[in-house]
Amino acid sequence: MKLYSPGDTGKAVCEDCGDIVSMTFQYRDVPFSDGSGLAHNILVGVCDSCDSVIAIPPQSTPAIKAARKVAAKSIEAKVPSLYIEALDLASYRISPSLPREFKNKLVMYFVHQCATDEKMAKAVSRKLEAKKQTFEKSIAPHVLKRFSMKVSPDMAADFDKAMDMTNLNKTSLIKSVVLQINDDIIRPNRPKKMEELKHFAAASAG
Amino acid sequence: MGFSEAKKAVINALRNGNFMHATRESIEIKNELATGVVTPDEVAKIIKGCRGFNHSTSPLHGAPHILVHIFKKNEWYIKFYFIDETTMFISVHK
Repeated sequence: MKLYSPGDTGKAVCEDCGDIVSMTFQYRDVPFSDGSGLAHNILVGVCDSCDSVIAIPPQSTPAIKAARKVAAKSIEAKVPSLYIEALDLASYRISPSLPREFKNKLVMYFVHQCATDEKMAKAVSRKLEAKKQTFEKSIAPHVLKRFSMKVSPDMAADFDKAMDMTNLNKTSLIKSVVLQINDDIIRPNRPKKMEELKHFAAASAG
Repeated sequence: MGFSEAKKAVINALRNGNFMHATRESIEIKNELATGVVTPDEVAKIIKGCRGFNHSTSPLHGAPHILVHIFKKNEWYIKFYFIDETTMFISVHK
């Protein structure tokens, strides 16, 4: 087993450069692909041409595992499958090329708005009672699916604050946010927030 | 490189630590070998149980001249390619 040091070199594929490139090992802060946080100061292979992080040696795995434990708080709820499908559809409408995990980021985008905007929190808190019956009427009996996401400690704090501001429990907040997403993204012919959400999707994918 | 060669090479790589994780600016959470959810021994054991029908190949996105090997077994999805003597893992997840 080879132990790499900063300054060592190697080869890997750089998707941005579209070829096998030379790389140099350096310490970097690298985010998790689901947006749940960062692994700080881990040794990675960096493309010599474009400076992108393109490889991770196995010696960085213990540090990644430890960072993942700290970074990831789990938020889970069982909701009728239609809610999950609505999130998938909203993501697809923002951009068909988005990965399925984007729906978690979309939920947290709205949760953050509830945590920071009293008006939004009020609107979302009323949404469930007002819209649930109409939204769920077509799905009897309900097939329940697990909604699960790993979030950073800051995002978990946002979620707690949003529950507090909307006076909803975890499952009801998730359902209400989906109903808000349905009203804002799925139902309108020309969703007002679309440009903003496309920018958000592009930024969170990079 | 065909199934038998790829299987032998990846098991050797996992046993002697001659592998790395391919990434693109972030730590791919679907690479559970990189995040430490599974160990190299556990991945080697899954691949050891694979037969030819568990294996497929495809060109690498972004560098199509490189062949990606995919092993699917008992819900596990393991995806990697070789550069010289090094195995580069892309995905290891259920």
